[in-house]
Amino acid sequence: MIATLSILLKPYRIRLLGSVMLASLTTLFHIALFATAGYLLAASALHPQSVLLLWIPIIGVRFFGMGRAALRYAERLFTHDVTFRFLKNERLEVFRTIGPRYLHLKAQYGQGAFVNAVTHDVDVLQFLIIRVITPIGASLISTLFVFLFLSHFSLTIAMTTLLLQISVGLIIPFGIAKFAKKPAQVLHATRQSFYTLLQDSLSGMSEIKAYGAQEQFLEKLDSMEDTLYDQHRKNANLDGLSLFSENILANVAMFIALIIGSGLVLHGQLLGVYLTMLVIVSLAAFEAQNGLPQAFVHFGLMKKAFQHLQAIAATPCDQGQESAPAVTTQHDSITKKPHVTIKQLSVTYKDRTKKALDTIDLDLPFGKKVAIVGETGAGKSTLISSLLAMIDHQEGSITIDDIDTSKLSPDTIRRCYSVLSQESHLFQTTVEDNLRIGEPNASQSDLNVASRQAHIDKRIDAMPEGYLTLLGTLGTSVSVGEARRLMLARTLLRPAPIFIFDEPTQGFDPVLERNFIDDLLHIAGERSLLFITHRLYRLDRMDEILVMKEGKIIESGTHQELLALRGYYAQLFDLQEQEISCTLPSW
Amino acid sequence: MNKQLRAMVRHTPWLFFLTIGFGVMGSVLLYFQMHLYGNIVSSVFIHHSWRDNSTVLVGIVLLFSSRGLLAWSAEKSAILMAAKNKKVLRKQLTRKLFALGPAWVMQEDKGELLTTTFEGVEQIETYLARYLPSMVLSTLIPITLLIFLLTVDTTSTLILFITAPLLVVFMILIGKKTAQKAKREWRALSLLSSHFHDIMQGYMTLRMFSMEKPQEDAIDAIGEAYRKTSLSTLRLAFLSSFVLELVSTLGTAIVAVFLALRLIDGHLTYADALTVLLITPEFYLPFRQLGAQFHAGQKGVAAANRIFAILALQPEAAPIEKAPLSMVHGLAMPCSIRFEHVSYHYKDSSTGIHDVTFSLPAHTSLAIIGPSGAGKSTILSLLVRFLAPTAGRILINETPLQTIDERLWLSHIAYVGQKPHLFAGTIRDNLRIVNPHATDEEIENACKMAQLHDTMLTLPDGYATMIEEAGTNLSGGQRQRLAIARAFLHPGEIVIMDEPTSSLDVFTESLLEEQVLLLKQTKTVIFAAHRIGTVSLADRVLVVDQGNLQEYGTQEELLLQRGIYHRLMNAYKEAAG
Repeated sequence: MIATLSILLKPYRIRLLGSVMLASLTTLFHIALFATAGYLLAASALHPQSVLLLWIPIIGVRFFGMGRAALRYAERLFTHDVTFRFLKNERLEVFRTIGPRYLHLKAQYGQGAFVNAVTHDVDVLQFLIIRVITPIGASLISTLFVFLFLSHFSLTIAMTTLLLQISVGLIIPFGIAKFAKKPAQVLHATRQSFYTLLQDSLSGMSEIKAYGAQEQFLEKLDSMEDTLYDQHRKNANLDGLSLFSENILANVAMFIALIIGSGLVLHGQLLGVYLTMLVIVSLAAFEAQNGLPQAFVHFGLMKKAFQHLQAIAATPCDQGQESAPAVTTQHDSITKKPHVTIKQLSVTYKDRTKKALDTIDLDLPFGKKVAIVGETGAGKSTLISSLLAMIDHQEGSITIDDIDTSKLSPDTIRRCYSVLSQESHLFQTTVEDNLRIGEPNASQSDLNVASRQAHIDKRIDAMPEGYLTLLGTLGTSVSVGEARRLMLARTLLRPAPIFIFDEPTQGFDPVLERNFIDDLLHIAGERSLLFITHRLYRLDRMDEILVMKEGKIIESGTHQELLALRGYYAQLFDLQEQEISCTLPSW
Repeated sequence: MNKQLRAMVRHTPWLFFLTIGFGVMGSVLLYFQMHLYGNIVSSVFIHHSWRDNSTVLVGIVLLFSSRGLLAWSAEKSAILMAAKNKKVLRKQLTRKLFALGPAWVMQEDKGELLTTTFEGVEQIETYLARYLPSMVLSTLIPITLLIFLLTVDTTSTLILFITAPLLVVFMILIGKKTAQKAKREWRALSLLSSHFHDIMQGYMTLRMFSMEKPQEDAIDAIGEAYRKTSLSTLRLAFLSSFVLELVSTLGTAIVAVFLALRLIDGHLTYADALTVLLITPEFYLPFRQLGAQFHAGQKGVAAANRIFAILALQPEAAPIEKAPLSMVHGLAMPCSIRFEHVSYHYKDSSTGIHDVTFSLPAHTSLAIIGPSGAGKSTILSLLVRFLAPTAGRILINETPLQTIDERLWLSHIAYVGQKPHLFAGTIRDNLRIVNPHATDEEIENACKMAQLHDTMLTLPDGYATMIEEAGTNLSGGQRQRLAIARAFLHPGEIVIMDEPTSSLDVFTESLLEEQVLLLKQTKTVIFAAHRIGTVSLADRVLVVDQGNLQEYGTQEELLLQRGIYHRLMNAYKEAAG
């Protein structure tokens, strides 16, 4: 962990050192302020002939007083600056690590789960400098300087203070953490189950109410709350204990300094004028241990986050993402009207025996419109992923204009397609930036045309800042239908010869769905179209329909041909026609 | 709002007073401890003698040990006070959420509610345990110390007395000005985090459009822009805490210098001077601590605003009958159901139902049809009493529904929602929730009727299979069947069901007519229907559109009426050929 961390932090070595130095100086100035003040009092008590003799300590007191405040200010700014620099780099690094492994990670953990986890890790790690490195570094340095200072007067006092400082900074926090480990785990587990129960209560409230289980749930929630309270009460003792020991140990240090110092003075081994200073410094020295317990807590959290990110970095890359692939054919060799052919394509996912795609054939000359229908898990999405060079195939071939796609770079392949799927994402940025993902160099009139075709132009005009309106939770929120239309405009903007629409109406109500599909088919124009759908609507307009089941194409033909076949397709069509919303178009 | 938060202390006044009391007592002991230190150092340094310092040493040990114990007790009572209040508050909140009911919860952001109930209450805990005592102590401890110092040295007391209000002024400035800046800062930081989350979520879109590389530049640019703007705000934000620190360190320096000057003149004994110097940092400490807790305080207040707002909400009350009727505690089954000019209007929405009147004889099944948003679910929700009519009344056996004991009424009703929720636990637990006393055999029978039993046999743990996160380990069809099995298992006579809209996916197995038929044999089924097949099974049909009742009657009556239902059936027959 340390090795990789140091690589991540390497560009900031000097700045980090600066931040640690500033933090150490802040602490040392604090201690120095009291040391000087103690010396000043003692020296004054000796009634010097002239105040001028006290000139230096008087200046010193003011200097350290103002200096401490100024240093603290500088230190905070400086440390934040390093943190922001680190944060930027860290995000970029994680983005570069996750990106090429996205599909693997998604398959392994589920999209929502791993994205949340990674975002959380990144958030935790961004405080690495402020909360861990700087406080620990500063603590070490200032403790060392205090030791050197004290040992100049009395090694015994220096040693005892150091030992007690180590106890407060290391032994007590770790000891208590060890002692508190079990209760903390129990508390964590209870909190987890309480959270689950609370989540269940909110999501399932209809059922709970209707089944008269309300009291039962409330009782369960209450009893868990009581358990939480009991556990809290026990932990309160430990919290108190650590506060107690910190308090006592610092006082013990001061106490010992007083006894030993007094002995030295009485035996003439130490000038009396230094006694006050030593006593005060041995108490003030504990300022160096202030941030440590917190730093250790954060260190624990960060260690976890870091290990998690490392485990993710160890995931193999997705196909075509490992490195620059051996590109033997240039993009130029693909015509503006590409002809895509799939022959005997089979795909088997890792760790599976069953084929996700089984000897699929598809001929897609430019301008042809093909629909693919089938239930979830039939292999529709796998087929699209293969076309887009997102996954490997084991058998068969995909060619574009008779060039095998293995000879093309993924980017070249993807440039042929413009995809709108149920998973297409609308980013929380402006409308314009969202559309430009389709074509970064699009002109304003291109944007206008695309939005008009996608029937979203009026909505955009009605937004507070038109194309510059920020979308998402922080800006203007749009409905599912509007979001999908914005993404449709983005898809249209991309000058790709082949459209892929992958269940673009998932989550729509029937009326919305029909309008949307009508528009889609209209918009496709003369470009090729692959239309994956779970609705058997308007499929009579397709040149060919492929019906997939368990990775195979089980039926194919035009809508009329398939109905005449009275097979699976016809059966599904009948089932759909039973729906009331389909039967009365006015609804 | 702050007041309500402070008023919470009233639940546990003793613990709060103990927390404060221990804190103040600690500062009294501190004074004596430092005083003794002053005496010893003075005797050794000035008089070069030990005299009876050994006894004094014992005193010091006793004093700082007691202070340690006081700190321990203060910490404990603060945590206890907060934990107790947290418990009370969370119990109130969960009860309120249930009282507001599913209809209200559905309109809210569920994630936000969850965070408020879970995290929000914890933040209030921190406010009560840390911020509030710190606030009170930052007044009491300095005052206590000032009183004692007054007996030692007036000049120093005066210096401290003057700087303290300065500190308070800057505290308030920090509170007013920089808190907002800091808040913006935090918001910006979370914005940055949500931006990252956003691009990670949409990564596949970026890949499909070959936009990964440009996005890297965007991350870099946004990070750099953020650093620059942040630093310029922080420069200002940290300024006020700089002044705060400056006042306290300079205060210490000035006290020290003045002490020194008077020591030279011999106006002050060394012991007294040292006592004052040792106490000075302790005088400023409570202010520093309060400053450190400021963020926790802000968070607590924000959380409290939301929580107390929820607690102040009133469940949408039914227009109570003018003369309060006595609650009805018995109900004859099967029962008739009558809607009399029933309306329900959702807040901020034109949907709902308007003036719906119909009468359903006992033991008669009913299908409600209409386009989405027509009011089908509203009618069902009124029957299950998730909602209460805003006008009109619903009569059960000629008794107003609102006067029937809710639990009694619900004990007769098996409810099947459109997206049935599966609870954490085993499949068996999920079935037993409708009938805690059901035997395993009864459960199996219900599942057989819902055509779920065979599936159960294929699962590794059968009926003991644990439901993963809200049922993700079951298919959509299986979840639906489980909900139907609940209806079979429920001892009630009436099934109220929102048939899932099959339009989601024709390929997903849907509720089968067979099961409605089976349910009909033993129970009265009232359901919102989406398929011709199931509608035709109902004894009566109710057609709603835009919240208005369009047609109502038996199958034969409606077909004769040649209205919407008739058109619907004809259109279907034509399409089906």
